[in-house]
Amino acid sequence: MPAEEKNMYRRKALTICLIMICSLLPGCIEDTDTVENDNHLSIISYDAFGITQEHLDQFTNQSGISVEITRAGDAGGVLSTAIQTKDSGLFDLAIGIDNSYLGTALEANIFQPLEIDRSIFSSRALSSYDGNLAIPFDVGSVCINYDSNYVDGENITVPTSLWNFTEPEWEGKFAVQNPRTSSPGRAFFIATVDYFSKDNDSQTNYVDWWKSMYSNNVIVTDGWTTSYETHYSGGYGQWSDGFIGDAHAVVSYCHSPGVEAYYGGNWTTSVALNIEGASFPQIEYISFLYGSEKSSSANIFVNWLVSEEINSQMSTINWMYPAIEGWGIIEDSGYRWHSVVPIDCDIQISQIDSNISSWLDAWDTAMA
Amino acid sequence: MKVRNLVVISWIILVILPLILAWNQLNVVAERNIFEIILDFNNKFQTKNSIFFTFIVAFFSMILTLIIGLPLAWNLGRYKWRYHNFLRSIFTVPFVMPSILVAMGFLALLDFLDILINHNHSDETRFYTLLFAHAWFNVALVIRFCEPLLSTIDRSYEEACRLLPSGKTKISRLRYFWLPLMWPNIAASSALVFVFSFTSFALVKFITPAERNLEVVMANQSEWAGLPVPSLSRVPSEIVLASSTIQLITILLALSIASWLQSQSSGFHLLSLKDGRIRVPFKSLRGVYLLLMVMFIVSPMISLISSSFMIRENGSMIFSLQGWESAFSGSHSPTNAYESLKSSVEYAVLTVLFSLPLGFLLAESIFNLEKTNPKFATFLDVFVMLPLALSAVMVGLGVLLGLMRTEPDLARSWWIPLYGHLMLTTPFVVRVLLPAMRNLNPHLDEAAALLGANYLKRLISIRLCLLKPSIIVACSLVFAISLGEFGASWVVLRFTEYTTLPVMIGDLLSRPGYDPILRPAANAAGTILLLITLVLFISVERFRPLGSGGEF
Repeated sequence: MPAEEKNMYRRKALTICLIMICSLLPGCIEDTDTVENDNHLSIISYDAFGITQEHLDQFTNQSGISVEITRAGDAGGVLSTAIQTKDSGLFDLAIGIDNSYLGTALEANIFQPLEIDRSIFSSRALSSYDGNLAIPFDVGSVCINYDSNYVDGENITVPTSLWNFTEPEWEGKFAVQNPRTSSPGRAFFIATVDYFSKDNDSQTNYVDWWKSMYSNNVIVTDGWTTSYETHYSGGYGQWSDGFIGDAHAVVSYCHSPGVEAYYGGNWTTSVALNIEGASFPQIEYISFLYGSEKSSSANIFVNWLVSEEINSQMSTINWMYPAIEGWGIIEDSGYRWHSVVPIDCDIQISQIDSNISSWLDAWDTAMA
Repeated sequence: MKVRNLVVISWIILVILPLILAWNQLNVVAERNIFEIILDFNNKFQTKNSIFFTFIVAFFSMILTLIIGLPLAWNLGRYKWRYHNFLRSIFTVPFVMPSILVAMGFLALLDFLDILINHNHSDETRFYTLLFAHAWFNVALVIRFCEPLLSTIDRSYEEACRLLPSGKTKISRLRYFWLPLMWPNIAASSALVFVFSFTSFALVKFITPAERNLEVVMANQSEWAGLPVPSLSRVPSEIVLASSTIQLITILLALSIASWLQSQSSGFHLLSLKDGRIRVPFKSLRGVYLLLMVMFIVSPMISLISSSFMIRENGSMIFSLQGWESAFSGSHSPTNAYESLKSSVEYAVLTVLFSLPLGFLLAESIFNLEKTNPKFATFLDVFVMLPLALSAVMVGLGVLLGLMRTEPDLARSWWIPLYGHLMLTTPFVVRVLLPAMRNLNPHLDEAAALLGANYLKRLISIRLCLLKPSIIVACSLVFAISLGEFGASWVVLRFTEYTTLPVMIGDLLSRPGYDPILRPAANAAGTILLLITLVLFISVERFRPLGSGGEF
């Protein structure tokens, strides 16, 4: 065969191959339209939501409903996406909007009612909201954790008031999260607003405390991971890349030391600090979004999430307390022993919704 | 209307549309004008020092990259080494690595150095680490811009220069011979390094958590920016509006300079088609230097790979394969490494199929315009590069605000992430093909036209044949960038059901690391990505034409 003819055949073969690849590839990526039916739920959740594919497969096998979870950052990200896609039907359920954001969500009118028996929930889970637009699935208090190695080693008195953290022994050694960019940061910030409005000192408020903290070189990070994993000396971060460990106190959950103990063979130096009113009771909700017409499937999923079978395991699935009555965190490896249930601040979600913008503006200025 | 013009217009619309959508929405919510907001930047915690930090980091990263990159380009361009192509691949791979992995690699390296010198790293150490990480990431730009030109400058010109009074010393030859010859390429690569360091996100976020550049500031505020909840979204909208404006103006300026300088660099007639490089053994001072540089490049990669085998257990780190097992079984992530890799490869192949013709037509348009309308050619050249410089936040906002409101179903289509990949890779196709087109002998095309060959025949029989090596290089580059693409996918892909390997890594890293398997699993997935990219680059390097014009 002449070389020219050979080249021609080669070129033709190449063209045919290319056309075949072009026509096959879009087929490899299944179009979303094919899965949009009543037996398919599209859920938006925060990144750290711990339900695994294994759990979801289990749900699908039981109910015949397939589930697709889309991650949208933190609780704020879930809410902002839910507001953006309001009425679109893009997502059926939103997982993870907490009580610090719930007021805004209710104001934005993005939820539809769910049919769930609320008598199954603990009073703690229903303390912020007991309606049928947002169903609690786990709870946990946000509070200060400290490294007992530092407190015991330096012979420092365990703080009994938030003002203690403005003293020289805590200078540059306390890590908090930016309340504009982090859910635990926002929760703790709200707790400080309430704490200083109810303390015995009427001359000072949260702005004064934050100003003093700024002068005391408080470490402010954009997210929980950086403050806990990179800065906090008492957590698992000490085994992570890029660990600094300059903070001996951090804002986290009151049961974080319990989780540390659970993975550390019942050993941790981290301790949750129980200062009355200086912690925020975070309650996470699942809600049925406006625009979705899959009410039946949505109710089945929510009932499954708050069922004893799944919800009782929340302390290992999602590192939070179950929302249903009669269940707590497990006792294995000192998980429960190292966890603290504090006396939380008491603030209404409507109060948060109407004031949060001005509180945050004041914080921005106090910290600059 | 010609297909080429249609492509140019479509590109301009595709680039501008998300920006217009985002800006419009931000403007609706913002109450103050941009100047007021910028003047207030240092009075607010969210934005304090961010402008200064962004410029300082970009400037010093650029200087450090040049200090590291230029001697490397010289040694690769003027000397022939054993395993030369392998070395070139090693020095180019960092540029296509997902920045989130680079950050992890450098942090692991920093820890290792801390143990060696028994020192706890301060903010200052982290700042320098960030500069080195930027230099590591961008050194490929300096090498790719300068090495091809250096490798093809005929040695006889340098010899002639030595005989002249102004060419007696090394410094005088550098001043009167090399710098005048090289400065457009040096300056063009500097401009791009500046741009990439200016818009750096993951490296700044992870390596210097105490500081924020404009990109981090925008990413932090993006959640609420542009939303119709003024009580919560006013401040974020104002910050994103002002930050993106500063960023866009700075970058447009830098890219215009780069484009203008690059157009100055074509037309040198000192080039020779023969390989004028001198063979040097590794057992020399120059060889030791090169091996040290290889160590600098591979160290973060090795630390990343080794981290995937280490797991904490009862307060100490032990060797374990659990991270790898978890990555392949998907026990700690929404999907496993096989599925993620499959999605990544599918997107990468699709990106190559779309990006190549698009980039070819854009490069051809610029090439033709350079002869008829040079000013518009420069404008289009800058415009082609613009997506690289745009904040992923702005593109993401535009896509999400625009599509989610109007066509929510469209926002979850499989091809939406493809849009992000095309925006990021097409500029590189242009950067590879344009200099190759400039180097083609125009008489061949003219002669074929005179003999009656139509455009398609000339394209297939002459231009594509001659451009084949550059097309192969462009394919590999697009494939690798698409494979490792994280930012745009993270913003957009999360709204679809497809998880690529970088998105799987991001997912594993974004969860609290209480569970000791999460981070090693992320590092294992990162190692898979690293090895695939490395193999791809090494195997394709031999197709790269000698002295391919002095661009990427």
